[in-house]
Amino acid sequence: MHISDGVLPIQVSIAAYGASIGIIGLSVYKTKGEDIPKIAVVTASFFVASLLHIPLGPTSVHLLIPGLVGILLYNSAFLAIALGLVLQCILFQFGGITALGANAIMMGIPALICGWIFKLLKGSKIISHTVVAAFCGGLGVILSTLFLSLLLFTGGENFIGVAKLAIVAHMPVLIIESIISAFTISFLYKVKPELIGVYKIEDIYE
Amino acid sequence: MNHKLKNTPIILLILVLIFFFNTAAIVLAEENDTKEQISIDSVLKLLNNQNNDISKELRQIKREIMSLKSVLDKPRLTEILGGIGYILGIFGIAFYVYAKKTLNENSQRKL
Repeated sequence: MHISDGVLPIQVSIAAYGASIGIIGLSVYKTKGEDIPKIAVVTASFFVASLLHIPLGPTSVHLLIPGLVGILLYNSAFLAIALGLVLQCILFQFGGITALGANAIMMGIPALICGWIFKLLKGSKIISHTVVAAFCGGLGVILSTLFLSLLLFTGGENFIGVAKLAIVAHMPVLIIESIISAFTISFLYKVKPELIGVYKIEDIYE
Repeated sequence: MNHKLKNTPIILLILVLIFFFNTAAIVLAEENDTKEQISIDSVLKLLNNQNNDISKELRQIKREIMSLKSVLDKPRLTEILGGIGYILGIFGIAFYVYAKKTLNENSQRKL
């Protein structure tokens, strides 16, 4: 679900570039240095994730994990997604280079929103983590399609039509991403809770 | 009179031969006409067949080109590994700078 060259009007793409550079700066400012290895690994998996295609009739949609990236990275999610998109554009020609800012906004802001919602709603038990992770995984896809329809609407398309089509086409992606997010978060909760910000009492008292 | 009558069978023979050759020429001329028509039809048929064969081969070639394009468009393993390398490299440098800063701060505090 990357926007190609020539779809968006020039003002929209320039404005999107400006906005995404600003948000990247904010992201870098809020990133803690000790999180950098985690950010690197999540960026690499986001970069590779869109190579997984789910066939849908004649065409296929590909997996994008803004929800999971947002949950794992919280404030640094925009930086990770923007970097992943830049490399995808240069190496695989996914999406046009003029639409890079718009693509970053389309996938980065849902990731940030999902991260904030996860942090807000997550409880302390594993079951609430899993449920909220599944919800945020699906929410990421829905918000991404909404942003896509909004951006295409500025290019002159019909908003409701494109939104309906995009959401229907990404239904399997939504289900798969919810499942993946739920499994990942529950696994991390059991194996390495510090990665998702769960600190047990035993860790504080050494 | 016998002299004149002696020549008549030869003259008759010549007349018969002339008559025969004329009809033969007329009949052969008609056959030539239909032969020309037959050859036009057959040439058209040959052209049609050739067209069909060529368009079949063109369609095959177009299908091969499309499959080749789809294979070329897919990201190769080299590109994937290159992208992962870029990511790890950029974040590696960033982490190194952060670690250096932390080390310097720690060593300055110890001083």
